[in-house]
Amino acid sequence: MCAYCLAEGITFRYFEHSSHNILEQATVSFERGETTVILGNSGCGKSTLAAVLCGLYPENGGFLESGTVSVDGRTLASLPYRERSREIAQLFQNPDLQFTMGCLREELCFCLENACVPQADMDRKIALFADKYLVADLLDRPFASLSGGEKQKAALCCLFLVNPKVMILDEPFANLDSDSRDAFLLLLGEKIREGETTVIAIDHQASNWLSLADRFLVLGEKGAVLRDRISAADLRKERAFLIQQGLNDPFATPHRTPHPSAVNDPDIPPVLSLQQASIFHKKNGTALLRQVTLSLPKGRIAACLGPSGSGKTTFFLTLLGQKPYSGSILLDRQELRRLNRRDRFSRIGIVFQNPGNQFIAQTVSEDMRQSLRIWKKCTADEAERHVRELLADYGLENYGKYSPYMLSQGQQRRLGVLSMLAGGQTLLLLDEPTYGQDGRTTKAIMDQLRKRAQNGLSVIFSTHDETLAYEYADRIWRVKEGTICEEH
Amino acid sequence: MRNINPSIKAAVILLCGLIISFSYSLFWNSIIIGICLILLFVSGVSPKKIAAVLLPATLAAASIFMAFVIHGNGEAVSIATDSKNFLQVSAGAGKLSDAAALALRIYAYAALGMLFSFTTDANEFLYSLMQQCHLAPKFAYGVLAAYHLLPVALREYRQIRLAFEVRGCHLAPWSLKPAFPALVNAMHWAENIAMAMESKGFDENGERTWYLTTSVHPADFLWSAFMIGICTAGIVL
Repeated sequence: MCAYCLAEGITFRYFEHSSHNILEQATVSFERGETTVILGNSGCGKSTLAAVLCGLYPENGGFLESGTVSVDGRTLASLPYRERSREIAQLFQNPDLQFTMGCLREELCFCLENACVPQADMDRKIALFADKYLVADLLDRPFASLSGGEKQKAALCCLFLVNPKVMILDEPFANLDSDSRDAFLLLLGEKIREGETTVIAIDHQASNWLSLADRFLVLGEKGAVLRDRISAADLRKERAFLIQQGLNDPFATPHRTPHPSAVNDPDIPPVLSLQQASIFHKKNGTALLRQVTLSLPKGRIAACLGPSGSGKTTFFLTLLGQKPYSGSILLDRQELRRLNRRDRFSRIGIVFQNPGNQFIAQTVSEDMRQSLRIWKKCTADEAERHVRELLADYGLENYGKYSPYMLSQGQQRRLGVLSMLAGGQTLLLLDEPTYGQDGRTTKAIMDQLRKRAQNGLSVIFSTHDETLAYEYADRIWRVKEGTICEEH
Repeated sequence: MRNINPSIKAAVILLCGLIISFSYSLFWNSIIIGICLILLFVSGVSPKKIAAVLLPATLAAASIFMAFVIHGNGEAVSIATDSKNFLQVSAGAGKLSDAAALALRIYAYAALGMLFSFTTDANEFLYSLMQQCHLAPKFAYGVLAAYHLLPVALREYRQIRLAFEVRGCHLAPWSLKPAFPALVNAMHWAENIAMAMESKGFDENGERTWYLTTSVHPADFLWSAFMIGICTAGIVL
């Protein structure tokens, strides 16, 4: 039988003369009208496979040693872009990096122009389209003012309009809260029910797809197919296999009982305590978060949950002294606004969603060394020894001479935590620490934090992942209706 | 003004700027400024926006004016005469008119700049560059994508600076250190955006249709002739 969409014998690497293949003789096939979800560990080549399927690689980088992709019997490499996008097209992970124009209407026009639709038909087509998918309210709002979820929805609309035979979605929810995810799935479900489109989704969370997917496929190292044609109904039987592979458990239920240590521990002094604190975007503005009263004891982990745009990042920025507040925020019993910059940052560190933004040196060990020098004022010899110990502790000892940017996302984040804590900071903030990570790296990062917490580090992390929050946090802080409440 | 073809508008305004850099005529420079302001008002640009540009321009103009009055070389007009008093006055007058011409020129530049930027839509300008000047779509849409990415880039750059500060790496406002992570980001972004464009069927060599078509009308030429004429008058007359 000849598959509808077939990638055959793909061997791909980023540099022609490198010996490290990202994909090796990978062969996958997809049937017409089928919705397939590809699961696999970070770095197994899922995203690369998607880009090769779309013909975006090797055109935009990398080296394809062998293999062909065909859709509906036509070999993709022989087609010009314009026709390729009618066969197969992709939606990307990062909602900020998908658009050429300033708003959805212009972006849809851009797609129509590419497809050589006559100018006279454009407005009518867009109006029809917006009515059909109920996105008229998105059309003229500038992308810069949309939330991450709305941007992903807009990007999906563009994909619908291009209307390829095969749609690839590369981790479309990596950055979305659960409401935005559901809105996205609702829109996608409509398209799938029309029955024309073949959908290939890449996701770390199989649980997102239980209602829509016809088939799950598990990729291993270098794009080897480990399990295929698992139906949504059969997924439960493969649960043990998925967990053993280090993937997220699709059937994990957040155990809603708080952690044993979450019971009040009045004897432990609080590292952070907020009393009736209101947080403002700028001076004399309206409060973004009102009357927040919380406290975090030393050595405890708090998870900050809430929809995107609800103020989690602003909360973090406030703790870093970047936003005005009223009321009281005590860090180590000292009022935050009275601390000078050095005092503040010697107590509190942050790892952003993109840890690449915080590397101050060109190699991993130099990055650590500079941190130690800044905070500890130790001698070169001491620093050298310390760097080696710390890197070994975090499993990065072999990467000392690498540029931090050459590390994988998971490694970058671990290095981020490590270098942020070189000064013996007592409170660490993490913005979406598990963004784009598979189950195994998530576990590695979180276990390491747990270990540090046992030694007295206090941690606040923001996340959309309730299961993760309940598993690792001692305290659950939920941002809603303009304030943050602790959940008991 | 909004209906003038954007490519022609850009070319004419650049040319006018070049011409008035040779002109010392107080009268004609004032006329140019006046015409620009009238055109701006007629095109419905809010006076607030105009004032927001004219204020810093006034600062620049005033500083040039004062610099010339105080340090300018007035000897060129020191005609031999027996009245010391008259000499001083005439030298001062020469300096004053030179200084005023330069200050007015600053205003003229500001007015011309506003005439373009406040009456031209970025998309329209690029569409026109593609259609009238045959700019490759690859560049035009690349510029548009970069332009629309600016808010993201700014946010990211602020975050990089903050991350450096949190790590105890104190940065001077002009420090180039955060530029490195920013450049790494920019490279990722460029690749991502290019792939997103291709995924939407963008083909740099392929045919395409246009949502906006811009064309050249006789009115465009009339306006061009008028503007260039006025500017040239400042030199010739």
